[in-house]
Amino acid sequence: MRYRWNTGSIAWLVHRITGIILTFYLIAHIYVLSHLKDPEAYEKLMSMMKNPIIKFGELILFALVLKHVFAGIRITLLEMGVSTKYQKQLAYAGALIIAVLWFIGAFYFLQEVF
Amino acid sequence: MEKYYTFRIKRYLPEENPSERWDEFRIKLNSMERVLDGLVKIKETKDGTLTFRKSCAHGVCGSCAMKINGKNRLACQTLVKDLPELIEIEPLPSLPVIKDLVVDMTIFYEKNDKVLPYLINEEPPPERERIQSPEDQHKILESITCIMCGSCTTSCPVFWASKNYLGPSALLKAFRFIFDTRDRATDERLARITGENGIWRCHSIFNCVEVCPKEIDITKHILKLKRLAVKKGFTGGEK
Repeated sequence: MRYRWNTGSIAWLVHRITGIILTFYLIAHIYVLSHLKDPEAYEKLMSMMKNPIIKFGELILFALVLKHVFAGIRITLLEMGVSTKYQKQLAYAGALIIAVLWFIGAFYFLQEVF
Repeated sequence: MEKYYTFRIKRYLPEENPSERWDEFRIKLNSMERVLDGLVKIKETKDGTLTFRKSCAHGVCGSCAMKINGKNRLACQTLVKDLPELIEIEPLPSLPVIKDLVVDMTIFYEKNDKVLPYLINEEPPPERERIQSPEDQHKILESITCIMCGSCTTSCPVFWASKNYLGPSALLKAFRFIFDTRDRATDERLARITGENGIWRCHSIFNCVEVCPKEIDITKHILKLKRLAVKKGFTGGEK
């Protein structure tokens, strides 16, 4: 079924999808970390993390976390009593902050590689 | 100024095979005419079998709610000049279709009955009417303007996914009585809307606010209900 997208429904869908991806990521994250038994295994994993492809993946993960956090803040503010008149502005402001934080973050992430 | 418009209408004729099809009609309308005028013209001059609901044609009764160009609206309130040349019309989404643009609204009305849409006050009635101050009236003024066209509930993704969800329209009706100072059954009403399929299923998607032909900020009302429910301890679990 086709239906016109609105700011609110896009924000909701992105919040949902990032949430589901992050849930699976967290399970994998905890699984991998809990199976590191000795310092050598840890060092091996850490050297693997220097790979540019993994760095690129980390940037995507960083974007997902930021998006999920700010979508959550928006919903919390609305539930706490911020006027629903500003729901769109809150979504746009969130997107702007995410973009700025992501570029700052990307700068530091990529400094480690190059 | 007159202009030709193409109406692309989703037909559903249960006795035909296949029962679903898209029909296109090209008609001339002037800039003052609405989608409903176009539909009436098609029915009168092109295809008499086209079926749709209409009554007042002035945005008061809410019977001509339908999906026009991907968004629920009242056909009688949408001017054709505000739409592109191709106008796509479908019945309200997620409700069973009876014929063409007519949907079975039974589920929708059942939800409305679940929130007890009438005044409950056991106190003996005064000699004349139960007085309400203008300030108290203003608290529920916005929610009273609802015409129950069904646009909001059928635009809600949560309702698409679960037909058990009460939906924005019924919750707005609950708000109208809970915040009515003359009503005494606040606790019973809150108990009815704070279950699994009540207010906590609202994810503040704002689709209902976008489509409401009376421009009611429904999400604002649901959020107020949520805050009241938390204050009174109706959090969905055991009390």
